[in-house]
Parts: sequence; structure tokens; C-alpha cells
Amino acid sequence: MKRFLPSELRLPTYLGLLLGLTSLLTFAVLTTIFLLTRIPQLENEIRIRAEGDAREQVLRIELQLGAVQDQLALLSEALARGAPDALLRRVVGEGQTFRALYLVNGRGLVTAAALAPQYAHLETEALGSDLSAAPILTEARRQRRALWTDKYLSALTGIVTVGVTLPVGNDQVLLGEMPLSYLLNIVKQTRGESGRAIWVVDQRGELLADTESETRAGSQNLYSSPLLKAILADQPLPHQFSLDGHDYYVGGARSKTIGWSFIARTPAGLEHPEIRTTILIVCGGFLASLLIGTSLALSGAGRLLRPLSGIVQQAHQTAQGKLAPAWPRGRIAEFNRLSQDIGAMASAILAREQKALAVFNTSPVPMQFSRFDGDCAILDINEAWVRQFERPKPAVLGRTGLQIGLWQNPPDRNALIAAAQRHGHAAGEATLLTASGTALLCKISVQVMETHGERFLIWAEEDITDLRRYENSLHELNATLEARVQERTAALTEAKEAAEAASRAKSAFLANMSHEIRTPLNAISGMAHLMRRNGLPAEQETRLSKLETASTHLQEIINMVLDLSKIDAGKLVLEHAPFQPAALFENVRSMLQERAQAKHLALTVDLPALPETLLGDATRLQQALLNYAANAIKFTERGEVALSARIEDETAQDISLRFIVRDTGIGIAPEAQARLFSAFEQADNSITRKYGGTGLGLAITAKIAEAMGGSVGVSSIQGEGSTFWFTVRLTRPDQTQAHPPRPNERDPEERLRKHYAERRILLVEDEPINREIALMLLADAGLSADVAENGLEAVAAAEARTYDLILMDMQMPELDGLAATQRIRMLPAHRQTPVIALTANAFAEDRTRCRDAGMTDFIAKPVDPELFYHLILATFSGRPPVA
Amino acid sequence: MNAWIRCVCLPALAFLALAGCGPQEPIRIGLMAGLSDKGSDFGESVRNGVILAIEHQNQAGGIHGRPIELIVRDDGQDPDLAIRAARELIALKPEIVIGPVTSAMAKIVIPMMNEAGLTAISPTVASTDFKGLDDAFFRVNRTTAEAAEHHAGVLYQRGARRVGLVYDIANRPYSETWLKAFTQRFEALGGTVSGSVSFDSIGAPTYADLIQKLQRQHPDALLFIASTLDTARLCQQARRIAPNLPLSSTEWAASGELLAEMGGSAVDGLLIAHAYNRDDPNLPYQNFKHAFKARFQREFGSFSLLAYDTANVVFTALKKRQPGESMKQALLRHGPYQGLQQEIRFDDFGDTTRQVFFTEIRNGQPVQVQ
Repeated sequence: MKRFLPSELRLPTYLGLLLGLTSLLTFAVLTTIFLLTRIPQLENEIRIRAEGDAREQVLRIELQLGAVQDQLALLSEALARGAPDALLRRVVGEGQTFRALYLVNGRGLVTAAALAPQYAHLETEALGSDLSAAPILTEARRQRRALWTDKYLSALTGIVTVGVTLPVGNDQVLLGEMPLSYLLNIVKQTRGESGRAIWVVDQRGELLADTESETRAGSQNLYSSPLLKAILADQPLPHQFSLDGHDYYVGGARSKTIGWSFIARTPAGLEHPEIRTTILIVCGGFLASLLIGTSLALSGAGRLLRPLSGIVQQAHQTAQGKLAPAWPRGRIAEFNRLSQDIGAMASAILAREQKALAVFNTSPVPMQFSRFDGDCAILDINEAWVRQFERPKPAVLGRTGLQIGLWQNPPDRNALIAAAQRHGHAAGEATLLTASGTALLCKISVQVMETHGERFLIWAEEDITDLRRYENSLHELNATLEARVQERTAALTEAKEAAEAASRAKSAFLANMSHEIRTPLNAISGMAHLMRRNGLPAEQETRLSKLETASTHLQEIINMVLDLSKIDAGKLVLEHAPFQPAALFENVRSMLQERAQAKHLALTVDLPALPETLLGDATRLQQALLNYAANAIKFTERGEVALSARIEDETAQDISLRFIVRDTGIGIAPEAQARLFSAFEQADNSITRKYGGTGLGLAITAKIAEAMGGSVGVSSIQGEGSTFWFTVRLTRPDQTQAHPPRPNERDPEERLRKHYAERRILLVEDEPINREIALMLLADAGLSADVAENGLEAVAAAEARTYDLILMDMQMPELDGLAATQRIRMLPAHRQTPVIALTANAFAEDRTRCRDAGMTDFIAKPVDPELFYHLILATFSGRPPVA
Repeated sequence: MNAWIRCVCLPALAFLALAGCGPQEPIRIGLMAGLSDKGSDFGESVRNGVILAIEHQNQAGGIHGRPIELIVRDDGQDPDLAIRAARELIALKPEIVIGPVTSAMAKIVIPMMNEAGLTAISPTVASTDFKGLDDAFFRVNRTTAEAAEHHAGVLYQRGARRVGLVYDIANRPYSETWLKAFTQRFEALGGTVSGSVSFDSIGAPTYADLIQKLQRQHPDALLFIASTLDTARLCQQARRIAPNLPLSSTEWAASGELLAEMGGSAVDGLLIAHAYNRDDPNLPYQNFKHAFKARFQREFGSFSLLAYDTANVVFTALKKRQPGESMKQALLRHGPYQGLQQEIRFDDFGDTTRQVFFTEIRNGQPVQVQ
């Protein structure tokens, strides 16, 4: 459709076409409905007329043939009186009705004959001819009445004929032969409507006559045609009949007396004049109405839309920039409103344009307005532009920036235009020249603007020469500032690294010192233990005890120094295991009971109803409490030391406990109290001399309390006593958690000897004395062990064979205990083998390291033989070790 | 716009599609025969054979679904009428024309049809004049020469030695070639043609004179080269003038079955040739016989059967015809064709031969004798 119609149409044309089309459709529908109803009616009328014609023919031919029959009847009566030849000849006459008349006797022989003049010479031949086999004669005799034959070829005259027979006296039959033309003439005498033709069909279906064509007789045999069948059966005829490619309306009737059928036919459809005329009139009327309708619609639309045309014209003028004085008004309200609105819009647009122009002209930024397409000639510039570039308007307008020499570097301009082309806008910097040739660095922004289908460019060209200079100097300043900052940062980093190195060195020193001191200490206490086992004289026993006490004290000092340094380094890790707070107090009391008794002091424990179990680091708590309690005993000469606790605060999840140690000792001066909890501080230096001690215990307690979410404090009156306290926050355990079983082994040494003497043990220890002590302890329990002197040897020994237990020292040359354990764990045979660490420290963080390396358990050095045996027994019997 | 296209074009397309589903354009076949007055008996015979064949074929679905339509034109056995009929047929451009029926008419219209490129096929034309010509004319009958020589043998065998001949010059190409071939063969066999007289069937001749003329030469048998009607009329006169002479007529007289009706007792003992085996018990022949009677309320004649065979030859060729193939090419290429009783095999010139039977009329009934 798009190909046939232009893409744009004028509104009146469009509206006219639309209305025309509507009327076309309406008329088409009406016409179709009319024709669809009228044509069948008409067809029916035609068929009825045709049938009437056929009936009329029947009547006519029956009348005519009746007359012929009457004539024959008269003739038969006359024949009885003799002179048949003459009679026959008179009746035949010129042969107009009868072509021949014969009198046939009972044997079928022609006894008298009269033929039309043109056949007269055959008369003698006809006489005596044998017609006995002719069906027409036998039928005539049988029926004994006048009979009309179907078409046949006369055996006597050799021409196609229709016969009529009449039995006469003496078994004779009168046979008359009539030319087909005679019948045709009868039919032709009636003039029906034009185009109407009639067929006469005999009983065999042979076409006897066709009023339309003399040659058509004989060409058809309609016996099997539905048409003839319907006529013979007295049924309605088919609506149409086709012959030689033409359709016909047909009407038929049959003469009962002669048996022939008459079929009147008229051309069907458009070939029928009446139908053709009807259709022509209707279609002509349709076209005429369409034409009138369309032209009326077109002119009406034009008239109707005239005010709109005025508005459109006005709008067009306004669009071209011509100011419209007044907007047209007419009689149609909608158009008036449209006109008014468009007028208002136009005014608004105009106002906006003026505003824009004002902004353009008064803007402090130099601006130019140029064409985009073509040469980009400058169309307008503002005052700021004139001032900045010292170029008056007349010298610039209508020329391009290149022509006036504005651009120092013309490619800059082309690049900006190209970018604007692509993105609709562009920005950049370029050097522009004033009229006097001063180069200005300008920040340029370009915006494409489209109006009335034409594109323009708006340029803003701001001089940033000075701005750029300031920026540059600022940049330089910034650059030096940065260098200084970097310098300072480098110095700080250096200092930090040095501090960290020092800290690392301190840690390493502490660790080493601890190791170096502990190893001989281990040897001392181990040896003392062994010596005592073998039995000693009383004096030496006492000395050995002093040796052990000294050694234990040294060990405590070292442990505390080490511990504090670790806590200071933020390496304090708290365990979170269930423990019984009451038991904790009992432990401390039992540990200090001996010392208290020695000083005749009462050591009491007074506890409120505490939760049976809490979660926390029991070792650290005990350490904290022990520090206070040990100090109290140390600084109390008479009276008592009381351990107590108080629930500060409790919730469903946790509980805040205050641990209190009260003594009746010497007390602390108020000014000293504040320094008490700092490391290496005691209340007075004289105290150190009198009571000894490192001054580290309180500091460690303070750190532990802090780590457990609490605090420490002291209240004291000199000479009366002191009360030390710390608080901690502890979690309540999950009620479902089982209580850890308590070790309850009697004489583990004996059991080991009895049941586990065959177990294989690998002892890994680099220090010969410690090795010896360990081997001796094992031997006492009836156990023997293979020995490895360092980690590598241990791994090699483990590869060589299996062990039931590996005792692993931690700090060794070549390969330390942790790494060796990891390697041993890689061996398939030693995935499950128990590995017990021999470690100097038993705090949670140390245990964690051991477990992470794959160790099963640990025992602190110097080795406590009782614990040692408990642990080995628990390991062998598959029970949890003694804590 | 698209909505427009849908509104306007879819109904139009639907209409075209429906129109395409309508009945197919019929295949037109022409028929040319004498259907008025003289010769209308055998003309009608041919017409009825063709009508029956077409009706049968159309009931069986036509040619590849297309119905066959018959266009009939009457040549009236008259040269002027024949030329008019031929022109009308040529103008209507049928696929093929069946006919004409007589050699005389063929002489006139075949050159016209050849010129117009219209193929014709005659069920009956027998004159040797058409034999061996590379034209667009096919014949389904054997030639007069074959027929006459056969006939001469039969007559000689039946004891005839002096045969008197009557022949119809209205169909001169047929009767004269027939006469010539007969005379040659009969004389070769040792017989004589005692005399021959001609007549023009168009001009309402008197037959008694003809018989009397022959009678003067004392023939021992009479032979008529004439149509059914003329044979009947000649027999009527022969029986009066020379009651004891054996009578014989050519296959022309067997065109229709009305001989006995027309001749009554006069045709008793008449020997005629015809183109089919009337004693054939086979189904195709029997079906044809009954169908014909039912359709036209009369017995079929020799020409009806020839016409039926001819029409079926045409249908077979039409069915087998390849695109671009002319009717003549198709007829020549797709043979041999099966007739009701005989196979029809064209030579390169569209000629064929046919087995012929002899019948004697006894007490009004035809009895096949040979």
C-alpha cells in the first residue's frame, strides 16, 4: 500500500479519502445485499417464465398435432370408401404437413403411398415395400390409437422424419411422415423474450428441434441428462444447465400425448439481458453515488477544515520566524481553542527565545553561534566575545573562525567539530588569537543545537590563560609538599622497623634465656627427685629440700618473667573450658596450706553459692588467685588469710565474679598502692630486701583480670592488713555439657609396670641430662624407649618402625619438635600414634600450638614425675590424660 | 496500512483459493458426423458410441480429474456444411476431433484440419486414399482394400462367380476404392464382376432402376456398397426384381442395427461384414452392449463400437500424454491401445487394421457366419 499512496497527505484529502472509502464500503455492502437477494428472485422469475414458455409450446404443439391427428382420422374414414392413392395424394398435397403418407396392410407391405412432389418418383418403389419390422407399425397395431414416433430415418424416403400412425380398418395402418422442419415452424411461431430458445426432445432423448440452431438437431442426446430426467419425472428442473460452455436457465414441460419434452432456455447470469441490466443499473448507481459521495466528502472536508488550514498557515509563518499578529478564529470551537493554544505556545516560545538571546548577549562567557552544516560560518557572537577577542561583530559575522584567523592551530577546531558531530557536544582547550595577535588559552565547549531541521553550534570560549598559570604554580607547590611528606614517612617507617626489630630481639632473647635457664633447672630438679628416691641421710635430705626449693623458686621467677613478657606482647590466649570455681579455691588453699601452717596462719576459704561449673581459663584464674594468696601469706606474720568470692552481677549467659584475698598483714601505704600493679613494682624497695619476690605477680594478675573483662584493686591500712580483689566475667556453660571426669588413678607407676611394660616408646630430646632423667623415669615404671637426639632423627626412627608413644621435646637443633611432629604425622603408620610434647610452658597458647602441629598432649618441664606417669597411663589405657 | 492489506487482500486470496478448488477446466473433444437426414443413421451411431465412452470416462474421473466435454458438429454429408462444421471445430480448438465418419467428408475436412494443426481420428473412414500419409489423421478402421479383398474371398467361397455391384458415389473415395479392390481380387480368384452401377444417395435416387440394370447382365449375386438405409432400400427392390439372387453388403451397411427394421423380410439372407465379434461372451463387450441399450434404447451398430474404441484410444493417449507432446505424437507413442475386442496398433502413418466378421440375416435376426 505504501507504494501506491504518498507518505504524506493533506488533511482534507485524507479525510475525503476516508469518507469516500467509508461510502464505498457502505455502498458495496448495500449493493451486494441487494444483488444477493434480487438476483435469485430474478432468476426464479426467469425460470418461471421459461417454464411458461415450455408449457405454451406443449399446448401449441398438442393443438397442432391434434389437428393433424383429426385430419388423419378423417382420411381414414374416407379411405374406407376406396381410392386410397388419390386420397393420400390430396392430403399430402405440396408436402407441407405430410412429406409422405402410406397405407400399410396387415402383412406390413405398403399398399398405397403418396409422397410430396420432390419425392414423387419414389412412389412406385415405396409400393410393396416391407415395413413389417418397423416398430412403429407393430406398436400402432398393438395400441390401436394414433401414435407419434420418435425421430427416425425413413426407410422409404431416406430422410429424418417424425411419424404418426393411425390404425384403420382391415388391420391396415395409416403412416404419415412429417418433416422436422414442420415441427420447428410450430415452435418458432411463438416469439418469447429475446434470447429464449426451445428444444424439442423425443422420448429417446434425441433433439428434434432447436429454435436457435437448425444444425443443432441431432447433435445431442439428452436421454441421460438430469434435465430430461426431471421433466420426465415431473420434478423441478435443475437451476441451470450448461451447454457448449454456456449456462442457461431452463424451464420444461412434456406433452403426454406425444411424449415429447419442450425445454425453454435463456442465457444465465450476465448473459441474460435482464440480469445484466439489473446489475448494470445497480453498479452504475453504486458508482455514481460513490462519485458524488466522494466529491461531497472531499469538498465538505475542505470546507470543514478551512479554519484549520488558516491555523496551519499561521503556524508555518510563525515557525519561519515571522511574527503573527493575530491567530484566526472561526465557528468551530475546537479549532478556536487549538488556534488560541498554538498562539499562546508560539508567544511562549518567542519569549523563551528572547530570554535565551538576552542570556547569550549578556553572558560574561564569550560565546559564538555558528552554522553546523557546511562551512560552520559564524552567525552571532556576544559582547563578551567581542571584548575578549577584540573583534567587532561586522568583521566576524558570516565568516568562519578560520577565515578570521581565530585559531592558532586549525586542527583543534576540526577535532572539536568532529567530536560534536559524533556526541552532540564536545569540550577541549585550544589557543585562540585576538585581533591583535595575543594568544589566549581557551576552554572551549561546543553544543549542537537543532532547530527547524537545521543544525547549529553554540561555542563557549573562556579565556583560562591566567587560571592555568595559577594552577601550574599550585602544582609545583604540591609537588614539593609531597616530597617532604614522603621523607618524613620514610623516617617514621625506619623508626618503626627498628623498634620492631628490637622487640623481636627481646622476644628471642627471652625465649632463649628461658630455654637456657630451664634446661639446667630441669636437670637439677630431676636429679634431686632421683636422688631422693634412692634414699638419703636426714642431713642431706634437708639440703636436697633446700636445693629443690631454690630451684622451684628460680623456675617461678623465670616463668613469671616470661609470662609477663608474653602477655605484654599481646600473646595472652585464654582457654574457654569448663571448670569448677569452688575447686579452684580449694586448689589454691591446698597449694598454700603448708606455707600458712609454717607461719601459724589461718588460711580460710569462705564462698557464697557459686555456680557448680563455669567456662573460662582455670589455669590463669588460679594463677591470679595464687599470686594474691601467696603474697598475702608472704606479707602476713600473724592472724589469718581469708579467700572469698562474691557474685557482682549475673545474667542467664554469664556471671561477674569478684575474687577477694584479705590478710591481716603489714598493709600498704596509700601512695604505694597506685604503683602496685605495675610490673617490677613493690610497695617499697625495702620490702624486696625483706620479703624477696620479683614484683611481677600483681602485674600478671592485673593483666589476667583485664583480659577476662574485669579489673583489679586493693584497699589497705598500714599495720592492719590489706584486701586485694579482682573481678572477671565468666560464661555459664551449656547445661548439656558433661563434666570432665576427674582423674582418679592410684599408683600409676605400678600399673604401668604391670600392664604396659612391652609398649614401645620413642624419646626425642637433645639435652643429654634431660634425656637421662626421662629414660630413668621411664625405667622406674618398667618402660624402655628408643632415643632420638633431634627432630630429623626422630622422623627417621618413626619411618623405620612403629611406636606406641612418642615423647617430643619442643626446642631442638636441626628440626624442632613441632616440625618433626608434622612430618611424623605424614607417615601412614603414625597418623594416630600419641605424641606428647615436653614443653616448658603449659599455657593455652602453647597447648594450641602443640595441638595444631598434631600433638596429642603435653607435659611441662621440669617434669613432675607423678603427672608424667598419669599422662602415660592415660594415653596407653585410652583414657583422657590427667589435667 | 498493514491492516488494510489484511482487510482487502485476505478475502481476495480466499476467493482465489476457493475459485482454484472449483471444477477444473474440461478437456474438449470434437466430433464431426452426419447427423441430419442422409447418413444420420451411421452418424448417430458414431455419435452415440463417443457419447457413451465419454460418459463412462467422466464417471471414472475424466482425464487426470478434468472432465471431458464433447463438441458435436454436423457435416450433413454435404461439402458446404462440412467445411462450416470443420471451421467451427478448428476455431473451438479441441484437443482432437473424432470423425469424420465417411471418406467423402474426410477428403474435404482433413486437409483443413491438417493445416490448422488439429489432429483427427476417424473410427470408420476406410478409403485407401488416406493410407500411408504422414498427416495428423488417424483411422481405427481397416482400409477398403483389405475389406474388399476379404469380401471377395468370402463371396467366391460361397459360390458367387458373377457379381453385380451397386455403389454409392456420394461416398466416392470409399465406394470406388472398395469396388476397385474387390474387382481385382474377385477376378483374380476366377470370378467376374458382371456389372456395376452407381447412385448418389444424396439425390433421392430410384433403386429399382439400378437393380434392373444389373439384372440385365445376369449376375449370380448382388453386392451393395451402400449405407444401412440404402442397402435396406436396395434389398427391397432386389427382392421384387430378382427374388432369388444372394445379396451382400459391405461393413458400411452394418453401421447401425436398423437394417432389419428398415428392410423387413427383404433383407433376409443378406450377408454383411462388420467390425466386431457379435458372439463374444467377454465382459467388456457384454457391458458395452448393455450400457448402449440402456443409454440409447436401441441396439448398437458396428460404427458405435468402432467409435467407442476410438474414443478410448483418445482417452488413453490423453492420459499418457507428456507435457509438450502433441496429440499426434501422443497417439503414435503410447500405443498399442486396447479396444473392446481387439488391440489397436497404429503404424507410423496413423493407420491400423482390424479383424472383420460376417453376418447373415436370418428371419430378421443377424447370425454370425464367419
